[in-house]
Amino acid sequence: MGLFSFWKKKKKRPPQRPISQLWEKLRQSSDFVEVSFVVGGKELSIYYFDSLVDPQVLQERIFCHLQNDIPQHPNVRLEDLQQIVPIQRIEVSEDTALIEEKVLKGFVAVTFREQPNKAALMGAAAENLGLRENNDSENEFSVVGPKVGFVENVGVNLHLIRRQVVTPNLVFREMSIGSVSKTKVVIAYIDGVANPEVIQTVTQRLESIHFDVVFDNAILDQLLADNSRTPFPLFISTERIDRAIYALVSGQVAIFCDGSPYAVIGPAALFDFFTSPEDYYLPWVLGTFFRLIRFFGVAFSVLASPIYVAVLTYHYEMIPEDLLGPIIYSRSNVPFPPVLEVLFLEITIELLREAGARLPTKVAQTLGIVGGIVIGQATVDAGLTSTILLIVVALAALASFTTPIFKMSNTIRLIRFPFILFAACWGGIGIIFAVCGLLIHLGRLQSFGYPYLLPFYPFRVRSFRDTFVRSPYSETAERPMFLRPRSRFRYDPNAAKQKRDIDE
Amino acid sequence: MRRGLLWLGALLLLGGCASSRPIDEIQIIQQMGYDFENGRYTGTAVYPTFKQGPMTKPNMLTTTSPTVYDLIPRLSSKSALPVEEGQLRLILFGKEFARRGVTQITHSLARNNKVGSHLLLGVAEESAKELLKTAANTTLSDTLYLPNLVEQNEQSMNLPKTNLHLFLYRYFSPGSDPFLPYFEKKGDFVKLEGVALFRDDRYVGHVSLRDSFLMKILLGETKNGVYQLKVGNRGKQGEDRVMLQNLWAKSKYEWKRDGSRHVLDVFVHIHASVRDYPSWLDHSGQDLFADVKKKMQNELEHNMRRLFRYFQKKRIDPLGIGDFVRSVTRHWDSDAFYREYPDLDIRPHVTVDIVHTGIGE
Repeated sequence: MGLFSFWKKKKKRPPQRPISQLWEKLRQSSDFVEVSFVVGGKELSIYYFDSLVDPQVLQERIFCHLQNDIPQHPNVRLEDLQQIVPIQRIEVSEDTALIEEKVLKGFVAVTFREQPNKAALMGAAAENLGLRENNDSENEFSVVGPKVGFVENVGVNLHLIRRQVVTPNLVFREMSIGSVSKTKVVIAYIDGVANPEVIQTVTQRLESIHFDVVFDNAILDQLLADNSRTPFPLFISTERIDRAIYALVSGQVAIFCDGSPYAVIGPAALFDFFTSPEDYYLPWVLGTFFRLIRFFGVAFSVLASPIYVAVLTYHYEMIPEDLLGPIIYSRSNVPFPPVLEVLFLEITIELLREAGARLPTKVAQTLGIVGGIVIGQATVDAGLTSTILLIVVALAALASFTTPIFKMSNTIRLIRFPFILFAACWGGIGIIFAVCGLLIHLGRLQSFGYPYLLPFYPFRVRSFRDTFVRSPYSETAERPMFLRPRSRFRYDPNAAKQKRDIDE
Repeated sequence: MRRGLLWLGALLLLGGCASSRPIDEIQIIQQMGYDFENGRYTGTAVYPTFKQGPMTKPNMLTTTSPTVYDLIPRLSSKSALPVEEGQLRLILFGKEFARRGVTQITHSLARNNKVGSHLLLGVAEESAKELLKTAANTTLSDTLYLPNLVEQNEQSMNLPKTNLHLFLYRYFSPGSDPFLPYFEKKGDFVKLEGVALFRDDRYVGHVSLRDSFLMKILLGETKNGVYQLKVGNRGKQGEDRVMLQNLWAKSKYEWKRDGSRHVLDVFVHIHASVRDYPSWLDHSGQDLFADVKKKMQNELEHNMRRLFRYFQKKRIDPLGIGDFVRSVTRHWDSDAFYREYPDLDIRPHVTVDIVHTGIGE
């Protein structure tokens, strides 16, 4: 059986195989169990995978009821089993492919001897076996606000969403992706808010994915992306419930995938990656301030070391007179040109980060201290880098951590290097070239067909209420119109603006 | 892919065209002095060396040449690293050099893209080289002693604002003449002595620091400066003086025709505080400063008249009176105006408001 036999089969529609052949195939595996017994004159066969089925459900719901209740219903057929077995949605099918899929997903197949080509399928899968029960959303931590995050079980995730979006308009559309993994993927949106065009784009793109195993939503993210060559993430992936719900409410579409604690949200704009749920939990003045700090942090992180290189290599005229002494003094023992010095330190920091991420937490902490203090101090003492550069690089690394979405902070780590090379080759004008190149690239990017630089390009003034400034809630009743939502207001804008001076 | 490689190749090849000047591989000069002695020009460059931490020590390079342009290349032959003038903060002209005209230097500076327009210029009473040497010896770690001295005096004391930009503006403007700070060597110290005055690009004379306060006020709005006035004839030195601190002064010019002659009225309004005054003033009753105010106004007017006469006699216009007249005259003729200038009737009218006299008033 080839790797892609699943969809090949769909295409060619081969003749139906007899059901016995299926059992024959499944018997190869030692965890496949086949139980046959006679009860009340009926000959029953029960098939299931031991490793997938919850034994308690199997015994208490299925075996118990079949054995006790069938004798009282002598003429029972497979279709009538719903009356006997207390399990929701028992399906009876002749389709071998369907039976195969269901059994492989943890269903129990029951057959009667009189109906040899049919099987009743009862769900008894151990849904949560081996999966995390809860997630404290530590990767996207926020001090204020709920700490519950998505988990690997998609059912739980849908439950978490549905709990807060209490409306019949919340729609979950399920599909299965992956020829081997047959992963359950759910598209979530709010009908009447999300633009149907977006929903259609998402559905189409998901349907056209051909892949074997979907390990994580991040794989879908890449397969869905409009441009696979960009270092920028085109969709937000979040483990925070509040963020996902906020996206749904603004008219975006969320994609959940079984086995992944992240939701993929699109269409996303560049600015979505710099907003944190905490902005909305703090008063708007503070929220705005921290958001601006974050933007500054990104600019600093990308530009600090390139500017150091450019100024020290080409533009000594620009150094303020009071800085001249410290810079020249700390550079005087360094044997490399500024570029190599910067690359050396930047790569050291990247190594520390990478090593810290791959090691167990407790070791990583020690490593951070060893790397940060010992290596930093030693390189300066050994005259390999200047103290000022050490500060610049460390601050730039620190600033890149302020981005709330991990994927974006990775991107920022990467784009710094071309900037440094440009600065080394052409100085200040090289940095300008790099910035222009970056802006051109960003201007061309799209997320589910929507421009990535919205609301800047194309320019949409009214949607600026929630970009640099997190406006107060009296101003944010309108949804960002660039997403073309079907309904304009999140809540009543007039009621939100009303001032209640006198509490009656 | 191929296009990407092309770009990368272009980047590398073009990157080789830019000449890089890593900061630790150049000799940055911060101050420069020009002198003219015995028919030869002398150039003195002051550069910092960084030895113990950020502490700097000023060092000097001197060279002589029969031409001015040759000086910096000649300095390079005495330096281990290429001499770069991008961090120049002050250029000092010896008096003899300034007498012969500074255009050769300023014209080249005006076109030099490495030098900022905040660069300060100055005139030394004797030789610029000696003055720079003295300045270098008086300071322990500060290579920018002279520029800081000028900036400090411009910001809080009597010196009117000057820099390369303003010098060039006044030099090229048909209705004004440039001026620069004037330094003198007093023993082992360098002292700011006043303002050196130029006709076109040639040094013609200087005024004292006390008069430069009047210049500062007459040049426009200003918020600082101190001025000492004599208000009586009693007692010893200092007992009949009032120390005036300018809080805010404004000058206004009016150009009128009086018969066949032109008259320039200058209205100066000074809001001042009295910093120090002799104790006998306290006994004169309620209206403590009414009398003093009158005396101050008279003395300021007198001094201003003297200053104007000095400028007229030297046929220089550092206050930009020509510029002002041009702004209120249609078809202003520079030659005609400056023919009339030495005999122009300039009438200063000073109003002094004493805003406060310290705690207790």
